[in-house]
Parts: sequence; C-alpha cells; structure tokens
Amino acid sequence: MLGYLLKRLLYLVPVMLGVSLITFLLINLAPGDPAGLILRSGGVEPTREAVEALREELGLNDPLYLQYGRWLWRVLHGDWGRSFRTGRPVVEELLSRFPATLELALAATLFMLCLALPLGILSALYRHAWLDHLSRLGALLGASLPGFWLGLVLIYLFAVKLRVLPVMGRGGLEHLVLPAVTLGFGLAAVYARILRAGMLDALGQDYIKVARAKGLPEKWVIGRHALKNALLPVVTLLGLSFGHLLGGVVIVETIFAWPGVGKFAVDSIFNRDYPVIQGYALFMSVVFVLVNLVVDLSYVLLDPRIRLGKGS
Amino acid sequence: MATPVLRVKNLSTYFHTSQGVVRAVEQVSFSLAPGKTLCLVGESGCGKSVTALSLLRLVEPPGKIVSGEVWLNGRDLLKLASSELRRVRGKEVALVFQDSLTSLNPVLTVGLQLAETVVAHEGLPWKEARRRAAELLYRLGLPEPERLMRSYPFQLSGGMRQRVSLAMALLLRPRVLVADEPTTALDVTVQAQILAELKRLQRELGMALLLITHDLGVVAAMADEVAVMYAGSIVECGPVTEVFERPAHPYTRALLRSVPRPGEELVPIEGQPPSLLGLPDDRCPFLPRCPEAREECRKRRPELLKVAPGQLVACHYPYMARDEG
Repeated sequence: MLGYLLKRLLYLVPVMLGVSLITFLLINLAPGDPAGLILRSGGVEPTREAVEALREELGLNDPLYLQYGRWLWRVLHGDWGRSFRTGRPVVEELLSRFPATLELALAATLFMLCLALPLGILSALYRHAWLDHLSRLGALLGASLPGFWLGLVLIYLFAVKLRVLPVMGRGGLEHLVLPAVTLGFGLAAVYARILRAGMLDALGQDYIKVARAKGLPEKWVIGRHALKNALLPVVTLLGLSFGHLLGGVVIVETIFAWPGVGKFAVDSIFNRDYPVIQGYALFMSVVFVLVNLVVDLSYVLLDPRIRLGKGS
Repeated sequence: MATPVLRVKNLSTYFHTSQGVVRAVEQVSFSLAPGKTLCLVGESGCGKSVTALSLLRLVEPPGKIVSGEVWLNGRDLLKLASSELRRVRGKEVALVFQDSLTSLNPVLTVGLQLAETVVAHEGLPWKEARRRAAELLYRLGLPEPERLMRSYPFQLSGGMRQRVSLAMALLLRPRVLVADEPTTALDVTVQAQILAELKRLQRELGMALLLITHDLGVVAAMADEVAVMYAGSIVECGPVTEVFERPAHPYTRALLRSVPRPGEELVPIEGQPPSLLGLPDDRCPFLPRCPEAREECRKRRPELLKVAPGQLVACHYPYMARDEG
C-alpha cells in the first residue's frame, strides 16, 4: 500500500511539470503582449518605450525556457502574480473562493450518489421494469440536457413559480439545493446506468450463484457480493467525471451567482485578467490531479487484487 | 436400497430463447441414498450442470424449471417458499462449482465467505463463525487456517481454492452435496488428493454425493451409481459395476470406448451432440450418431426401462437384449 502510494506520488511529478508547462505557454501563446496588456489595464495607451522597459523588467526578452524556469520558481514559492483587476495576489483570490466551489462540488457529488446508487441497483434488480425504463429515460435526459438550461428551468420552477428555494447566491442549505442538483443530475443519470451495467455483470457471475446456493439472505447477496464488485468501475470513472464537475461548476456558478472560483474565472476571462486565468488553470489542474489520486487510492481499498499485488 | 435422501422425479428445465425453446433437461429422474455417490456423466452441454442448478432452483431466466419434483427430507424443493428454500440451501444441500476462481468472490476474504454461511444459517456471532470455519479448514488439513482466512481467492493456488470451496459447502454438514465438475480445472495429482478428501469427508459426515463429471476415471473411482446423460435426458443408469461392465446403451458403450488406454486405439464417437434447440421428441435423440439405429428408432423416442436389476436404459435395442435375443 505504502509502495503504491509512493509510486503514485512519483508519477505526479511529470504530470504536474507538464501541466505547468502548458499553463505557462497559455499566456505566451495568447495574442497580445503581456507587457502591453499590463500597461493597458490602467486604461491608458502606453508608449513604445514604456512597453519595452516593462518587457525588460519582466524578463520577456529572455529566451522562453529561461522565462519558464523563472516563472516555475515563483509559482513553486507561492507567487502566482497579482490580479490585474483587483490588484490582490492570485493565490489569495483563488483560495478565498475555493471553499464555496468545494462545497458546491461535494453537494453535487452527494446528490449524485444519493440518486445514482439506489437507481442503479434497483434498475439492475428489476431489469426491464418501469423503474429501469424511467432510469434509462433519465440517463438520456441527463446526458443530453445542457447544465445551463436545466439550471434556468429549475430556477424558474422552484424559485420563481413555487418560491420554495432562493434564486441565487450562497447562504444556507437552501441555497445549495438548486445548483447542486443542476450540477449533479447529468452525472447521476449516467452513473445510475454504469452501476446498473456493473450490477448486471456481477449478478451473472458464478460467485453470486454460490452465494445464493449457500442460502445467504438476498440483501447480503446484493449488498455484499454484487455491489462491491459493481462499484469498481464506478469508482474508476468518478475521477474522470470530476473534470466534468469542475467544468460544469463554471457554468453553474455563473447562473446561480455562486461566489466560487468558477465564477471568478469567468469574470476574469471577460476582463482579460491573464494572471488569474493562468492561476485558475494551474489551480484546477492541481485539484483535478489530486482528486484522481484520491480516487485511485479508494480503488485500491476496494479491490484487494491491486492492494496486495496479483499473484503474490 | 435404503430410503433415498434425495429423489428427483421427471425434472424438466427449458430455456426460452428468441430462437426457440432449448430443452436443457428433459424428464430427468434419479434418487440418491444417504452416504452414497451418484455420478452424472455426459458430454459438455448435455444438461448436467443445469440439472444441478435446477435442484436448488438456481436456474436463471431465460431458464425455467417447467416440471418435476425434487424431494429432500419429505419436502419438494420446487414447491418451497423462497424463505424456506433459503434455509435448505447450504444447510441441507450444498453446491460446489467447477471453477473456484469464478465461484469465490474476488473482493472478499476467504474467511468472510466461509463465516457468512454460518452466520446466515445459525445466527452465530461473526467471531464464533470464523472460529468454526478455521476449525474445518484445519480438519481438512489446510495449513495455517488463520492466515488462509485472511487471504483473498486470487492469492491461493487452484487446488487450495477448490479446497476452500469444498470447505464452504461442508461447513454446515449438509445431507447432500452436489459437486459440478469439482476437480476438472485442477491438475491430476491435486485432483486425486481432492477426490480422496471428498471421499473421506463423505464417510465422516454420512453425506450423499451427486458428482457431475465428464471424466469416466473419476466415475470409476468415486461412484456407487452412475447416470449417463445425453441431450438433456438420462439414457442409462444403474450401479457403476453393472453399467461399466455391461453397458447397454450404444452411447454408453461408445463413451467407454472413447477413454484412452495405453496400447489401445482411441475410438471417438462419430458426429456431434445434437442441438437442444427444437430437438424432435418423436425419435431417439442419439439416432444420428448411433451405429445400431433401426427403423423403430426413427418412429418413437425410447423410454427408460429396466434391463437388469437396478439398471435402466432408454434404447429400443439395448445391447444385452440383443445378445441374448
């Protein structure tokens, strides 16, 4: 287990280097001269000399690898630059908004699991029954309905018409419901189908026949013998889906005016706040990679064949 | 013969597929006395395994038991409510499958899979159940039972896994053990060891054994009685000595000739086993492959009839009758 963990951590080094390189190039490939951009952010057209002076000062005339090295060094020391817009350090801006995003993502995941687990299990057990068809329809809708549309419909129904939930903003639990449902619904529908497939696969295995032949109660056969095997593919995919979740968060936060990093990033894009966009990309990559690490580790806990090394 | 512990009467299991009805098991009857061994033999796909699954009502859709009775201790298992059936499964009749790698759950420890049977049937605390399981593993001669209980199936060798499967089936001292090709996946030396252990345990527990195999060597070593299956039906059955020495059905004779012996030429059975899909029931199912087929065989399906004490054959022209007549 410890060896596996160390190996996984070691793999992270090249991944993170690649991520940093891409993020760095992002700003260099973007049209326009960063020096010009910085000077223009004050609203005044700068002189050629001023731009040249700033380029020299920022080291923009040095070769690219030197710039990258210098940038990486600063990033590693927590200096991610300052927002053009607010003038505050990017790290501070991101970290102060991250709890809101995390709260939303966790709530969406929770909602997703609460819907997907029972629906997936039941539609496998009652295959081709009405619940199964309903979940199939749900998966189709969930996969094809765009998040912004669902969000707006939910706002219209529950906040405008029924007036049971707030329209936007962050506050108590009631503020969390609509954005979390908007964010989690699509994934829930898809995961219910994945779990159903996993359950059907597991239920067809010999060990299920054996479990029944042993006279175990049906809830043990399903819950212990089938579900644990069926969860393996679900957990693997959870890591991948987290990317969708982070992407979706940007839209959902914007619709619901949720004060998280996603909304901040969108605002920054509209304002060409390059250091923040760069910082956001880097930050989200780190989060994504770390979440995948956690998912992989939980996979190890679920599957003894990986934990103990096959054939040992 | 003593009162049978298991009596199967006219058991039929069909699979309703989109191409038609597959009659996997057709009118199968046999009985099994306490402490005795009945071997069910036949080629792959002749309905042996489906018969085993049908006994415990483990056939899954599209398969369905369409008729028959399975009497165990005066109760017809096919008529039991599912809660009662659950109490019979594992406790009175246990099942061992061929491939222990797929029949043990890969993500649960051996100990848990053993102990849960005891917990489910006797309501013992887990600790106590685990102790019982460890004791049995020890009695089976498995080294380091405690360590074994903590392992996962993939960490064990094939022979070890099959011993665990066997232990799992024997934990509650069932009156009948149904073993579906329990040693087929193992190499010959391990196979011999496991069969010997099985025989010893059978004697100790006074357990009846329904052993399903396609290996006639295993039959010779283990069986008291033998039933030969062909295309879903029993074509010949009786005491193993009778059937092996005086096989009366052409299929049994061909099967015995197809066993390799040193210095003798191997005689394969010509042709293929018939598809069980839409098998005509107005003629003998062995007809296309039978060297002795005559006009009568095309007109009527033969019934299982007595040809000698205890020996039944489903053939219009059984070998003995031909010799004597």
